[in-house]
Amino acid sequence: MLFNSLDFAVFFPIVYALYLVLPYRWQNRMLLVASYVFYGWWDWRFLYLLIASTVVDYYVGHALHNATTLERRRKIMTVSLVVNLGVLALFKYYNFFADTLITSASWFGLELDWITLNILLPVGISFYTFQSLSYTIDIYRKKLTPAKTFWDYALFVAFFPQLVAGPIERATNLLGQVENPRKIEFTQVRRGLFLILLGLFKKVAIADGVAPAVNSVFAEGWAVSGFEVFVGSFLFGVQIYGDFSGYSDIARGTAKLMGFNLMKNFHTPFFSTSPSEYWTRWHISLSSWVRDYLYYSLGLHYMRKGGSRWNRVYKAQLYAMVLMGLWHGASWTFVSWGLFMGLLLIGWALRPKWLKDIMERGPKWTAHLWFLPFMTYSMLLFRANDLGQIGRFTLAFVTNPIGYSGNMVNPTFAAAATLPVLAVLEWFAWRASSEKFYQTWPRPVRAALCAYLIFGVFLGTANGPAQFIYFQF
Amino acid sequence: MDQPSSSTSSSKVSLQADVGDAVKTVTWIAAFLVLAEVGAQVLPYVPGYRGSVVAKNFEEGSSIETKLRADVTNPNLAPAAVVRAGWMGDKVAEGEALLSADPNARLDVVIYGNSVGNEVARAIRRISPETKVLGIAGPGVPISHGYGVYQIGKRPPSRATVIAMNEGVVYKMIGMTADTLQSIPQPVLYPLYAVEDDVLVRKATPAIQSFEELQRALTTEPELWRRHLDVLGENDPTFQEWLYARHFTEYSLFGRLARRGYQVSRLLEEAGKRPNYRTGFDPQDEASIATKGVLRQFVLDLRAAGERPIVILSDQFGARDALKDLVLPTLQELNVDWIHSRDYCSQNDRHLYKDPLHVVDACNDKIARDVIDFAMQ
Repeated sequence: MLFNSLDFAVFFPIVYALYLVLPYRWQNRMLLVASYVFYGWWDWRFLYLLIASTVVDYYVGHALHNATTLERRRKIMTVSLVVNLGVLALFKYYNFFADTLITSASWFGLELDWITLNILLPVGISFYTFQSLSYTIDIYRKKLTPAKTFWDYALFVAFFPQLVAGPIERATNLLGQVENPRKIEFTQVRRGLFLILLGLFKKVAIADGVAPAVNSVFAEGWAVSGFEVFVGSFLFGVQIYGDFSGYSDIARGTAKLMGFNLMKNFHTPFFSTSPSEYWTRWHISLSSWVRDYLYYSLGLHYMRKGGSRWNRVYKAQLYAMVLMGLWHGASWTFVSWGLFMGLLLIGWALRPKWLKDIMERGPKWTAHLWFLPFMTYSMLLFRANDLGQIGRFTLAFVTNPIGYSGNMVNPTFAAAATLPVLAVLEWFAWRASSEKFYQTWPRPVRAALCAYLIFGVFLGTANGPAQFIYFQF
Repeated sequence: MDQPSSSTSSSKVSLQADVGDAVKTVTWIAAFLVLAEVGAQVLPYVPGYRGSVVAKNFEEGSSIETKLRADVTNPNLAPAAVVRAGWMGDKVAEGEALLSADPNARLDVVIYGNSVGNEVARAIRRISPETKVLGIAGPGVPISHGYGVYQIGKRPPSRATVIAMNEGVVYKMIGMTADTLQSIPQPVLYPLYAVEDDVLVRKATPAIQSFEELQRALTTEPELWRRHLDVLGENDPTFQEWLYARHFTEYSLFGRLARRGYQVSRLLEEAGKRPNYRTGFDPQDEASIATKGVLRQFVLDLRAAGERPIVILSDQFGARDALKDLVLPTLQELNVDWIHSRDYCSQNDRHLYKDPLHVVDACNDKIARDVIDFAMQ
């Protein structure tokens, strides 16, 4: 069920009305059923996976809590890792690794008759698997006590606003809210409604509006110049930001209406001045997950082995980023994106002093311009259809940097009319270091903003409803 | 009676303040939306608005009827698209005019089709001005249009008769009004056919077949317009009167924008649920059966009239061989000559397409050359 669909427009008011009239315990049960309906709307068969993952991690959590020896805790933790990562590996990566092995073998003249299954990718599997894993890891690390009841835990895993595309919540934040009665405050409802409107605006008017331009650049068979590749890649950054942060806003807004607070997933990423800052602003719930559960663990592992700074920091960073790339999808383009991001983080940190001086010499705003081309290139890697296209497009920067083929189509009128407004809003949010910047504005100005967002959503409906990009991950 | 506690009364006061605050904000938002609506009502009187990109976006959600009325009542009608919409009656008249000028006239090539066929006709005139060619086409129509004109019309005999087919309009064989979202309105003007017990049957004929009839229907003869709507309502499964005929929802800017959004979704849904050129056509689909049925009968009728048919299959950019796969068994069974645009210009080379539907002139010239050769054999 898409947030911007008629199905959801019918589904949510019913769920919300029930939520408002039911007592707390029944609220949770109703939300669990509603979440399973929401998920099953795509393909009910995958509900079994979600439920299986929930059952396993619930009991693993309690077993971890009750285990007295480290050895036993490790064994129990392994069960959770094997089950969750095993399901992920089978459904998301099996074909990728099998195909890669077959191709690699063929380079050496070997013919492998491997079975490549036509496995469907369950929607949101990477999101709920990571969310569930964070729960067992936190209990293993003794940072968390297990959920009091199975039903509360099931709702924590399946809570529909963030089930299929995040934010990837931690039990330390969401489970407590599930286990205790929520209080719906007026300011929260108001903020929730604004977030939903802003999210729809980003998705419908902007992301879907720039999509045709992006698709025209990345379509096979086109000859495009380096300039067009740059613009297309930058617009893809805008598209995925509108799409994904729009989804996160709607998820957070929907949750707020019910008294839940989900974590912020984006904060003005286009104003980043370095890769490390970028990862505190883009897909925050994933980057912080990777930092807390992967990067720190890898760093600790190398430290225990007496590793150098290179191993403890940079090698761990590189591995973490490559795995983050792979999290997005079973494809070499995502691996190359992760590799690029890892190398960029390292290169930026290790850049020589003279280069740092040059980059910091100009006015403050130029710092953003230094990072922008790298961010744009990372978008190229993320969006490219295959490694061949990455090669061709990268070459175009050198061989045909400023040409104009005319093959790139323009963003739609809706996107052109609304993108400048989003840019201004982002600037305000960045300057105020708060996404609630508008709350200090006079009422007529706030109202004008809301009216414009409504107008933008109406205008953007002609863009054609597209699936949220992050559903595929 | 219990006195309310101070905390209860303060929370009540707070709630009242919150509600009052929200009412004020909502009122302000509503005022701005009304302001936008009023502004949109004034816009058509602003010089330069008509024909602008803003007008296209703000007015596109209007009904087909409203757009047609604007054209019909436009004093500078001559260049308007509605005049050149491939009216069946007008196309028949063209052929009759040729005959009345010279009863013994003979054409070299007649092309039935849509804009793709028209472009081949233009290419023939361009590369061989001495070749006598008649193009019978409507914008975006399937071959029902050409067969409909052929069935009712008189024209001079021809050395070669081309049936130009395009994969992108196959779905229109059964749904004439699936696409109501056109900034340039296309009145529906071709018959609907179906195959019943292996026999091609004409299921419906549009009540309006010429531009003059449209003018009458929208000015002095409203019952003709009603009849036109009834024919569509009874026979076109994709017809929705509130989108095609004038409706109160289109008088507001937000209404038109919402209508436009709905029509985009509807069009995508229609295109998605029916096997199409991207997925490959299902030979058992209603539109596929009708396409093959009309093609077959068209070829048989032409041969019965002593004419030599040739079929042009054309692809959109990036397409595969969906149309060829669909009609090849029929073409082979009839042993009819056919040419495929991809054999002249790759459908994967963007440089050979001037837009996603139409190849560049150089490709049309190559096709035209072969059509002329066929006609002169």
